[in-house]
This record gives sequence, structure tokens and C-alpha cells, in this order.
Amino acid sequence: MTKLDSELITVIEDWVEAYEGDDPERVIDLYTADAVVAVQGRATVNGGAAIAELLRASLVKYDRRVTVRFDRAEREANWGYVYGRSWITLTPRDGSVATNLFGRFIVVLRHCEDGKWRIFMDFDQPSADVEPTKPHFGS
Amino acid sequence: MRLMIAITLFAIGLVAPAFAAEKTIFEGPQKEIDAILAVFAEWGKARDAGDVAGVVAVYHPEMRIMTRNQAEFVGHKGVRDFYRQYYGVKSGRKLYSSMSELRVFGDAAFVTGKFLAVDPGKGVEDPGYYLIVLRKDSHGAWLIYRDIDTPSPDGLSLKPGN
Repeated sequence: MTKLDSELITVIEDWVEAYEGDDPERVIDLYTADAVVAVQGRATVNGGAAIAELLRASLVKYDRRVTVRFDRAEREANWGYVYGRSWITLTPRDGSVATNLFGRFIVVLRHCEDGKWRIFMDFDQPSADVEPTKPHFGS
Repeated sequence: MRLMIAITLFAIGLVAPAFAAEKTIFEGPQKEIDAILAVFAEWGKARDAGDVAGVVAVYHPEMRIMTRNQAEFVGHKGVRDFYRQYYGVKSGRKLYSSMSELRVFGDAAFVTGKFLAVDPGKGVEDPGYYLIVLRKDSHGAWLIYRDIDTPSPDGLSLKPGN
């Protein structure tokens, strides 16, 4: 593990905490207005409004548990990126079967005019080097 | 796969009028954008020729290929290992792609887009989305630093006839 920029890591940790909580607006505020979300197996979601709609729906529909491991977080003047591995469990509130998502992620961030770092690309993929059984799936 | 992505990106995705409806978003100094497009052209040419050394030349020494369902390929050795999987293998596989964004931030740039790999003989129809990160080296030359893809139905729109 090398080059972990703590300010960028904090943004991702904020994302995890907000996503696991029930405050969609806090999660939405972590994205830029021109952000793109590309989640494995799904159509790409473009722009803040569409991302907000996706997140609000997700937070209503599921209980969520997220674990991330950081491999790299670097920044230059007004951009940065973080990548690592993630494990996400989505448990539908209607009692149907939970979904486990795992793989690699790369998040590209921009330093915004208000001084905050925000995500403008949120990308994940299935990966052969991310074990499905760790760390919180239980089996 | 990336061989055709790069070729198609430059030869079709950026040039052919068929893709005019899906305009690429460009951000950053035109000089840098042009330089990056030239790297893509060089990359495609090398891959088209099966020239591993030429492909390696456009990758940053600290590069990583992060492709779906495979472990990471790291450094120039990783580039060689990755591309040797594809060279010398006869295949009916075709790949279509387009570029959604090319954004330059100082000494880094991000290129995104979608692709569709098809191999009719094998019944393969494999759509996805890619992200390529480029950085400048100490001499100011743009090099590919991260090469990432993920499965996505977005690529289905590239199917001929759609």
C-alpha cells in the first residue's frame, strides 16, 4: 500500500458513512454536478440529478453495509484519485434476498471552488483479485 | 481487446460521422488534447501491428491495467503480459467503441467511453465502459497510467444497426 492522501481518503470514508446512514443529501453533496457513476453491470449514470435520484432510491430500498480497503490515493493541484477494493451488501427492506457486490473501485475527485473535494467519477469492476468472502459477507 | 478499442476510438469514435450524435466532451488546453489523441493513435498503430514494444512505449512505467475479472497487470512487464494474451490468437472478435470524455487537469488526463466486443462465431456480445488515466512523464510526454474497464450495457448502443 503506497501513497495514501489523507484528505482524499476522508472523502471516501465520508461517502461510506453517509451511504450507510440515511441521509441521501449528504451522499449527493459528495458528487460534482457533472459526475459519472459506472457500476459493474449497470448502465452509466451521468450528472448530479440522475445520481441523486439513484442514491435516494437506493437508500429507501436497501439497508446497506460497505467495507473498503484503500490501495492508493494521490492528488495533484485540483484533481485526485483513490482506488482500492470494496465489498457492499444491499439488503432489501422488503425481506428479499441480499446482494453482495465486490470488486475494485476507482474514484476520481476534483477540488471544487468551495474548497471541497468531490467525486466526479465513481467506477467499479468485478476483479479476480478481490475475494468475495471478505471482509463482512460472512460466508 | 484494447487493441481494437484504441483503433476504433481514434479511427471511428473520434472521426467517423456515424458517432457524431454522441459528442465527446473535451476539457483542457487544445494543445494537450491533441497530444493525447496522438498518443491514442500511436497506441492503436502499435497494437494493430502486434508491436508489443510499441505498445509498452505509450504506457507509464508505473502503469496498471485493471480489467474486469482479472488480477491487475502492473508496470511494463504487466503490459507485455496483458497484450501477449491477445497477439497471435486467431479470432473473429470485433470491437466497437466511442469516447465520452477527454478531460485534462494539469499533468493528468482522464478519458472515458463505452465499448462493445462481439464474436459471432462464439456467441459473444460483451458491452462495457472504460476509463483511461494518462500522466505526463518527466519529459512532458503523455503516457497511459491506468487502463480500466467494467461491464456495462452502455456498450450495446454501439451495436451495428442500433
